[in-house]
Amino acid sequence: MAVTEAVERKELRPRPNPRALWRFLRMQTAYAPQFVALMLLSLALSALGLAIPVLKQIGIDEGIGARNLPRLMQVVWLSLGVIVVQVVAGYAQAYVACWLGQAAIHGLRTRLFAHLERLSLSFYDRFGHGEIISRMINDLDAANQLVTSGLSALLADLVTLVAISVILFVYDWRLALAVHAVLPLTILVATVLGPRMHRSWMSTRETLAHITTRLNETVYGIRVVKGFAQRTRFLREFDALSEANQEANIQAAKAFGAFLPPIEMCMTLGVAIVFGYGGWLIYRQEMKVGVALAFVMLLQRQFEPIFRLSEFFATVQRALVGLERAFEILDTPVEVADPAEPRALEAAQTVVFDTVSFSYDGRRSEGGSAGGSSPDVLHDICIEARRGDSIALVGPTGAGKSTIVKLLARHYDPKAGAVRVNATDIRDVALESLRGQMAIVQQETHLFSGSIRDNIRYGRPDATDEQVVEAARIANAHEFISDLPRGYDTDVQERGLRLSNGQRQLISFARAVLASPAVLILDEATSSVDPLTEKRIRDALRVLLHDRIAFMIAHRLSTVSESSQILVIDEGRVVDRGRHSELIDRCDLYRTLYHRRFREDDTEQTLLPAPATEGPTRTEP
Amino acid sequence: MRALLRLVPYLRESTHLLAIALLLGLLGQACQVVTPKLIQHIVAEVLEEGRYDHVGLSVALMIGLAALRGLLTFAEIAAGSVYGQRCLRHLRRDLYDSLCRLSFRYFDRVRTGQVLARVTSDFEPLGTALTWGVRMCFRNTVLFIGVLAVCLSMNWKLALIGLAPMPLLAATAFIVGLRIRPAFSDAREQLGVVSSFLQENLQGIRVVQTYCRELEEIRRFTKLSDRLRLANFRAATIDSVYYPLTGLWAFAGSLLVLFYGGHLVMRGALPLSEYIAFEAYVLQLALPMRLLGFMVSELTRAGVAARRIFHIMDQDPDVPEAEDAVAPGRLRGRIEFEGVTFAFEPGRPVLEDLSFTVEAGETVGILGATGSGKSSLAGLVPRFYDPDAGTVRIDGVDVRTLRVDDLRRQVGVVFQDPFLFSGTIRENIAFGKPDASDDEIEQAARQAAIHDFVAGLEKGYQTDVGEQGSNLSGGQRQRLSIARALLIDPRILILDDCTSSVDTYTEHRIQQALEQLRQGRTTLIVAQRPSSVATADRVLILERGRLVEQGPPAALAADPSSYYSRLFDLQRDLQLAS
Repeated sequence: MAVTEAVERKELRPRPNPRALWRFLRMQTAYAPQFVALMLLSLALSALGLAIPVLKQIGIDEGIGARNLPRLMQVVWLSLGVIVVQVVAGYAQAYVACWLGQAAIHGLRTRLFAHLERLSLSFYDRFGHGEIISRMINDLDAANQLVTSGLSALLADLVTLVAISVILFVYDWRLALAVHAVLPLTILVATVLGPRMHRSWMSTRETLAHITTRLNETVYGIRVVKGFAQRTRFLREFDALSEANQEANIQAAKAFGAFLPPIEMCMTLGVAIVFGYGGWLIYRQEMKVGVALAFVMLLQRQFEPIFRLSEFFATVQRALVGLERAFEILDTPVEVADPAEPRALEAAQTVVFDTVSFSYDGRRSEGGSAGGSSPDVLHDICIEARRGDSIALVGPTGAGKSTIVKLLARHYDPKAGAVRVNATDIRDVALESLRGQMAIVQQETHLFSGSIRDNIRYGRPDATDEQVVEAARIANAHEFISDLPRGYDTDVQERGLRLSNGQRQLISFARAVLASPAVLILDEATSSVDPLTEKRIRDALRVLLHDRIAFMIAHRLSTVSESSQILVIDEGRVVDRGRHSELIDRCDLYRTLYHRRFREDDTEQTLLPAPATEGPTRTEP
Repeated sequence: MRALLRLVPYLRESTHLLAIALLLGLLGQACQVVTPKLIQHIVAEVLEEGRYDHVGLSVALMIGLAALRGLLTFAEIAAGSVYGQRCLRHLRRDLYDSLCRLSFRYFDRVRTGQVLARVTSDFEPLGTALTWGVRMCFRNTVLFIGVLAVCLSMNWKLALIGLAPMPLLAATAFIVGLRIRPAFSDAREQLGVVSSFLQENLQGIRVVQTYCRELEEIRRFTKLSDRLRLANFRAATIDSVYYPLTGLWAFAGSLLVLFYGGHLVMRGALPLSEYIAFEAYVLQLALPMRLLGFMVSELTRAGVAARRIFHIMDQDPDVPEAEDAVAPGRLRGRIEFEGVTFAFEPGRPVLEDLSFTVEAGETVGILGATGSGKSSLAGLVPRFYDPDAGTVRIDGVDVRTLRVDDLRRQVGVVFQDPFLFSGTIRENIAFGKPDASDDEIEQAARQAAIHDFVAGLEKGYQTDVGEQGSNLSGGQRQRLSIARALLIDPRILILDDCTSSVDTYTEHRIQQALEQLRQGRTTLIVAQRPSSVATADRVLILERGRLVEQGPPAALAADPSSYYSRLFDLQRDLQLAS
């Protein structure tokens, strides 16, 4: 569906900036000795490779040709030595290269991850998970190739090419001159056809990426695909993508096929010159036959470095794209960061929103989002809460309720105004000491793979088993958990286990209870729970909350009507506030929201906000 | 390697292309085999006979043969790649098809991220094996045999001595091959672990940050990443033994030729020209021998991939379609459950001995405590699962005798978790009926109370919903998925707790719209609260997978001892408490 569009966007990226390469290399300074070792090994390998033809030539001319057996034996033993050293050096070179490549990637990967953990939620509004994962897994591989085959070979290849020429000229300058006539042709072919081949190869990668994307979506949406009996259509569409990839691959093979003959022609021309002109020299006894053979072997060794060098640019290019995509994440500033001198926060006694305004600030402008440009989502929000208060936020979908609590946990910072805890602006305190006092239960729960016990303990890893059970009891989760065959040790992703949405909400509720926060945030926390359970949770909350501050969001007002203060939010503003009994009398919007449950008469329908007034998207995740 | 053999049927496709490619390859290799002979002629002429008459001819022949070989190679590669790509596409199609056929149960128990990591990363080595691998195997075998034959005919003793290291090479390939397979498989596995950890972490990033667990997560990730580094490194080092080691054996052969051939030449038993040709042949032998190592490692990789892919293709769909399955006509929509028992895990039934009937056109609400089996019940109707005992019938016909797709086309399901595909709003609504007209789409959107929202967007129905609908809020996604189900004009509509993320007012609007839509179709509403099913004709109450109560909501509400009325009162009390 949108696959092509996504790819087009990617193609519009500016040309990669070579500075990313330096930056990447600077990151590897700790590995400088290994880099040097790799270069030296590569050089040694090239030198050894060039020694073989020379030895052969000596063996043939001075050994066999001169009927000198000891000389021949010398050459044989020497060659054997060279080959053994070559094997050892070759292995060592590959070993160091692999080690370096993997170490570099591992370093970058963990740096990226550490940064990801600190990035504020606004970053995750912009980047999809698939995108991040593909950057961290696939793109880094290009960097690996740069280390293992690109950079380490560069110097060695250049030296090899020069060395071959020098050896050839030392042997016989006339023949060397003659064979070098072919060299420009070889370089021309490699530089003209090589990039073409590379381009068609890239196009096979792109079409493959489309296939992967489609595969991803199919697997994630498999229930919908099957539920709507769209398998045949998906198969057809997939096959079309597959066909595009097939075509690209065939084109790439043809480009490769077209590349081979000219290259081989160049090499054969070289050989033909060696034997045509060299034969003449041999005939005139101005050159020995072993030299001709050495010429042929050395000419063949010229080709590999030339080809690799012609590809070097492409390797770097590819790695640069990958590195830049990684650096883009690394360079995303952590908007919500600890202040320079973070203060520790005492247990929260008061929470104050002081005329807070907020906007998502064009963050979703890329990707043509549903919201268009982002106006302010919250305007002049003022809230005051003391220990023991529970504040309820009610209002239509998209009014900005979730955004308010996100500001409290400092997932975002306000655009204007301030959020204060104990009269201290939360931007001045250490994040950990702020968040350490809070627990959030969301509608869309997230459980980590692992046991139910570990999930409940997530916010307080040192809690005892008894405390875990106690928290589960309060959250009404104990009963169903103890019914499971393995109880609290059940893996939440275990084979055959299917926790319902409601049960997952109860587990995350228990997690919040166990964290024993000074501030508890319930964002539609019981939307998928049946009323009986909900009632029991409410009873438990009454006890739990008496010395805490609670923020509750609910579409169903039954959950919030006991709150000490109810804020009616509409279009990012507090339109009214008070207790339930006051609001039900004076606030039309509140009454509408409240009564709708029991479908009393519809006279207030005209007073309702039209759904078109829904604020920017994503305010209610 | 049995998995590799299972690829063979895919290779049988378009065999004429394969034959052409092979023939061209054969001819191309023949040209190559001739070249050293030409060199031999030149050397013999200038060195042994002291003449320079025919050198020009030989050189011209050499160039001509190279040109011919170039053309043949090009044609061979073109034909071979068309062949290989066709095979690959076929395999891919089959894999995708079986992926789509996998049952709901399969996806319930495996981690989606890991399935994906498998399938996507395994495609590539398979592609390489099917296209490049097959051709290379053939090419090099032919070249090897051809050169071998020439060598043997020239001087069999010298040939045998030159080939002495061959068994060592084969042994190297074999031994390293054995060790490399687990290493590659380990590396792939670890990659899957890292990416699913990443996936999980990113999904739960808000939880991670709220509970201040960043450092712990970083520590865990670093450990996993380091394990991946080691696994990759181990595989790569085993892999890198190959090239130098096979090189050693190849050069050892050429060294033996130098040693023994040199002796022969000195004794006058072998002309120098012949020795030189021999030398060239041994060099030609070195290439396929060294590539052998490469091919073994490539094939090993493919074997690992094939095993994992066939593992997926071998999963039995546990909702198999009967061979004589019939396409139902237009359903009337009478649903019958008779003694239905269903379990995700043996011994822990989610539904137990459930019997009830929903008449055509009826609207039935399903209530019950969290985890009582409501969603599972709904999933049995469109045959997402089959019951372990008992029968589900629609219009009196066992659903297992119906064609699955035709059944599902008439059952519209609104899932609890609304999944959207990347693409436009329009594409998502039209998901079940891609050729729907704009009017139909708008109508469905109106009925799902989402039209006003969509119309207010700059690009309207052409707005991109983002990856998995990430540009939309939960409530908006739910309403789009309702519109999606309504568009196919289903005979049976299943609403699985689908208004939990919308506010009361929107829920009310949706319900009003649905009330009209229920006319003439059967509707099942899975819900948490009595208010959501108050307008249903009948309500079923589930408790731990058993049907404990049923009846019209009014009647149930009137009976003070019923679970329904308890819930109903509770809900009202909750509201009026303050």
